[in-house]
Amino acid sequence: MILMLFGVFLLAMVLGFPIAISLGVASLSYLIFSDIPLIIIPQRLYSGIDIFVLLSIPGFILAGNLMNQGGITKRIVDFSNAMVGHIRGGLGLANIVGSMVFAGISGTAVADSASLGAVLIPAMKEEGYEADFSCAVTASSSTIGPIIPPSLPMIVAGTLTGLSVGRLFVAGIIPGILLGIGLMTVSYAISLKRGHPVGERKTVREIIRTFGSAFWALLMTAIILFGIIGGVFTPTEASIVASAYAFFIGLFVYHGFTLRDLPRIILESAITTASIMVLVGLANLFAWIMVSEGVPGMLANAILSVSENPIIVLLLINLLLLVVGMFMETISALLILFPVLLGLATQIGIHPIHFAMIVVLNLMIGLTTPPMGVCLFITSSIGKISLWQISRAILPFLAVSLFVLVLVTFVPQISLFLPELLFNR
Amino acid sequence: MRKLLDRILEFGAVTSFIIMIAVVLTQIISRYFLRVSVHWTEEASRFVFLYVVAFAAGLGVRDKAYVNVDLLPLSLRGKALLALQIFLSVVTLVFLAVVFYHSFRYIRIGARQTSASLRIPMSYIFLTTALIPGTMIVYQLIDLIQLLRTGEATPVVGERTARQNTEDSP
Repeated sequence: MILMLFGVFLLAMVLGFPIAISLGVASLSYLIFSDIPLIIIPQRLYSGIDIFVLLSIPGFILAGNLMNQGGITKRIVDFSNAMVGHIRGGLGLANIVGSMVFAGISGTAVADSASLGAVLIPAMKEEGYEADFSCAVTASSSTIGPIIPPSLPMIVAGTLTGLSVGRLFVAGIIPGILLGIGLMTVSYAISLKRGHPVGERKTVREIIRTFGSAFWALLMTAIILFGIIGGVFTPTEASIVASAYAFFIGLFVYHGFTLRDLPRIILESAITTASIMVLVGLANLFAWIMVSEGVPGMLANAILSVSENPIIVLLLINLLLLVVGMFMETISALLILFPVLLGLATQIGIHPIHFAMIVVLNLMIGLTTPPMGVCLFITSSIGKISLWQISRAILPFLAVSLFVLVLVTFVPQISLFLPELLFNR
Repeated sequence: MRKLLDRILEFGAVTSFIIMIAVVLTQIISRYFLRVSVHWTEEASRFVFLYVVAFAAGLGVRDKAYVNVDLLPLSLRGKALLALQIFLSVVTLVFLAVVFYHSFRYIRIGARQTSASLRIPMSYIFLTTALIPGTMIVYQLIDLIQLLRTGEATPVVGERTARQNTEDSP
């Protein structure tokens, strides 16, 4: 029975059904064969969406769209370039710094690679960087976005399991910075070897000017973070405050859009939200079936029968997630697997927040793993290179990302230090 | 007709999105500035959120916003691609029709319940479980009719998300 559920799901996905519909069709065929009343479908669809924390998804999507329309991307790039542009391969480094800054705004890797890529890939090619290198830097650095808060995957992970989204956000700060440093090291090493261009050193005045121009965007990240950490806002409230803030800054400070553009921006955000929420609702149905079939227990037994050693269990879970992340979109993978695996992880004594960090980082790496990583598709199409070219160029970056994943997996303090410090428990 | 439906749904999605923001802002403002805790805002914002999804779910089909793995569609051409697209469309329609049909039983159950805080019949909220598949069916049908009438496959855009996002950015 359960094999049929997964079989139909995989088949539907390969045939090209939207992932939401694939989940639905698989669940439907299971329900019919098991003679379960089909009223469970609208019931699960409803209960999967009717969750207050999930309202932060439209909030952050709107805030990101408003900031993007407000011309924030270019300002962040200018600021990062003023800081690191004078080092060899400076634009590559600026790309990574830009992603870390931009991370505070969008919360999804796909949005990061598309918006930063559109500005930076052409600029890098023009300055004489190879197209495949430019695309690879953009794709790999975009995965930092959802590690550094705010982050949609963390919101989903928290909602599913009752973990505090605020703690999850804070836990991502150090792993995100580590990933950034790792990627910059690789980028710098490649630039040294290939003799990439050096930008001119900017004066302090120039740095202050670009900082001033990017300041309002940076302040938004600060508001979100301190609001949530300080217990002033819930994540949902923070996301709504962020969109209200982005609206005022975009309209009155950056003049990136006018009031007439507003309905279009809101509509785009609503459609993106709906496409995610239908997926969430149907994944909730799928997950309900898995739980009622006892899949979490079976999976836990299967993994624990190999070994009960936490190190080996974590390695196995990481391998499983890497394979899943290559083929599946982040949010649906989280919905289906995270609660299942979390039970197993706590059983062998792993802290839930630490485990969430491993899972999200792992799924992000999946976005840049050839041949199916979404970020590879996006950046290669912007840079006009083949999937094969970017798949080769991404390898050194992928290696360092995996190294950071290993560090985060086996050194719990990387994820747990800040939440324990700030929430003092 | 099609245009009118577009406008109604777009208007509904944008309006409910704005109401959702307003309700959450009310919650924050009343807590911090008026020092009163308003108990209905949490529930109200969740319900309006469901309506955002209900209005925009069909528009998502129109704009092809639902993520899929398009490795197979990308590798097919001409008649084979057309056949695959018709097949995907028909199966999707069957699934959505099943959800649509059963949502009405669910709505009837909701008529006997009232919400915890606002005291409104839950059927008004459960209605969204019919609107979501309902609006999706309409646009999926439009898509299918288009395929059958022209007899030509819709070109597959492998990097759909990339294209949309780059057009948006300045």
